[in-house]
Amino acid sequence: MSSGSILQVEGVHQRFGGLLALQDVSLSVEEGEILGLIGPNGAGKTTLFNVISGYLRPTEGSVRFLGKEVTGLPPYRLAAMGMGRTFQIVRPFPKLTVLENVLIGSFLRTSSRREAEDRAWETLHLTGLAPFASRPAASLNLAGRKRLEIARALALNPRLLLLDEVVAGLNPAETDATVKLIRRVRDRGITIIVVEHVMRVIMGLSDRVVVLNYGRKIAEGKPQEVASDPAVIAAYLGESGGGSEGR
Amino acid sequence: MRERFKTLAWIGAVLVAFTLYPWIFPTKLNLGVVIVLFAGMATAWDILGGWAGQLSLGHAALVGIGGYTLALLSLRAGIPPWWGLLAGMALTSVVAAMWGWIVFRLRGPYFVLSTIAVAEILRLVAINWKNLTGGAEGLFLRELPRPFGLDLFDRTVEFYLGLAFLGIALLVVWWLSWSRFGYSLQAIREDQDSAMAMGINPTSTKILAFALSAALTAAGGSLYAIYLSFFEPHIVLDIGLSVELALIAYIGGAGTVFGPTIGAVVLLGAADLFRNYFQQANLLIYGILIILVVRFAPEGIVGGWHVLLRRLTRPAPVVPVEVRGERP
Ligand SMILES: Nc1ncnc2c1ncn2[C@@H]1O[C@H](COP(=O)(O)OP(=O)(O)O)[C@@H](O)[C@H]1O
Ligand SMILES: [Mg+2]
Repeated sequence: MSSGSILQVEGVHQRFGGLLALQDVSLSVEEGEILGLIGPNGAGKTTLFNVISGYLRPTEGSVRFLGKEVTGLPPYRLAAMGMGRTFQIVRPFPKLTVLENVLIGSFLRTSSRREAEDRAWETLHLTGLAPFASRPAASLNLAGRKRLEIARALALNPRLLLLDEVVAGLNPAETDATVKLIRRVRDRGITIIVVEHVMRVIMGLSDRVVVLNYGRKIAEGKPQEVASDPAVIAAYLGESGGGSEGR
Repeated sequence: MRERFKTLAWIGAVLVAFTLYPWIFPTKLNLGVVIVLFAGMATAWDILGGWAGQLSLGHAALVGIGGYTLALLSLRAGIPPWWGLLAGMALTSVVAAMWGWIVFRLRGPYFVLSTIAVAEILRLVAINWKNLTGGAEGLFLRELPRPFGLDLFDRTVEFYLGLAFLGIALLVVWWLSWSRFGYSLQAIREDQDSAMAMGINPTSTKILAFALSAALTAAGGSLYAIYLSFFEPHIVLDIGLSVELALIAYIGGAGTVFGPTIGAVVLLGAADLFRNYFQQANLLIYGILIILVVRFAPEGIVGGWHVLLRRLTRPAPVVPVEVRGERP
């Protein structure tokens, strides 16, 4: 637990009725790194994001963010503290325009419409969504809506960004663009946790990787180390067609 | 930016157009007063129902508290109506805040059910607590002081007071249409989980919206009480009134600046037009209008108008998003 740690998850258990979706999961995220969080479908990645970002109160265990105990704090408090997240199943505000969606994010840091709008445009340019600013969010295709998820979270001006499968389902060109965007965001000093089902993407992107399987952490380390870990290989082989989804 | 001032100019234009009403329809002043009051109250309803997406079928409770506060303070304590109006606004916003504090913590249909229940309870209280409210026989505002020599029972005076009220309500929703608070409400309406990820506290935001909506509705209720001068629980605390305010907003276009005003003009105007031909025509007209709007413009008249404009000015939008990495 170095002094540069921005997020610490300790001994988290999450129970849904009879299902133990997370079992004693601990991890720590260093300021400025990209942490990859991988695992087969149903491993508990999204559940862990929900615990970290306040959508679920863990059955056991604790979360510390920026050195403060935040277990059980509501999502909006965490957002205000500097945590941005996207949803795997994208949920933009459908009737509002792309610009308005992002504007709502930038209103977190200012109540001035002009400032919020400037910030929103900046984010739209960064994410390549500027040409679609006045379209209703519902009219974007999947790639566009996933981009919008990232843009909204970025507009919050976060210290930590949680990205849940933002490339799943995209074609190679779109995937490439999103990977570049994530790197650019990190270069701006934002710490990132990327959940991805697609191994190849995450290996090239992450400084460090954590692997979940059936709610347990089964491996952690540099991408190359993890990729050659027998337990990880077994977990992914156990899944039909594992790792190849989304090309 | 531009859009926002264009809307403001439109509000000015609508208000100016309304100022001409007493000259154009000098024999229809009653209808005029009712239109501006209901347009304002439906706009107030819409802050909560349309902008924040929290359906209320109990706004009659707020109309009633506004009306009764003004009337009782005037009759029992001789307090002038402008103080009564402000007291009614303050009282309803406190009531709404407490009510919201209890019920907005729960998700699901609890809020709308609570609105029906609270309004119904208030109606029963008003009927049975005879000493305070005059019971089912109602209250009669015999005389009121004359501010600046104005007779508050004069229909023209009432019309312009109602119009000022509508103007204030329109300015409030105009502010919603571009401000942080307004966007917080829309975010909650569109997707509450997403809104929380954007740093919005849904409970406190809804409570504020409810209090604002309630205070404005009570102001309308106070003026409505003066207009009626004689009123009883079954007029100002009736579920029919609650439903009417919601319908006006929906038919005109919920969550839009002008929707409730357009809804009030169309609905009340049509009902008045046909009342001369059929008894009980307003119910029939409402039914027909609801069917037409649901069938052809599910977003209300304003929404239908926008769809029409888009069809006329632009071909059907195809949206392939080409996401490239652009230089920041
Ligand atoms: N709210 C919930 N209620 C009940 N079970 C859930 C809930 N959320 C997730 N689960 C279950 O927890 C397990 C982990 O799911 P999830 O975290 O979505 O996996 P991943 O994101 O790694 O694919 C799955 O078996 C899923 O069905
Ligand atoms: Mg998931």
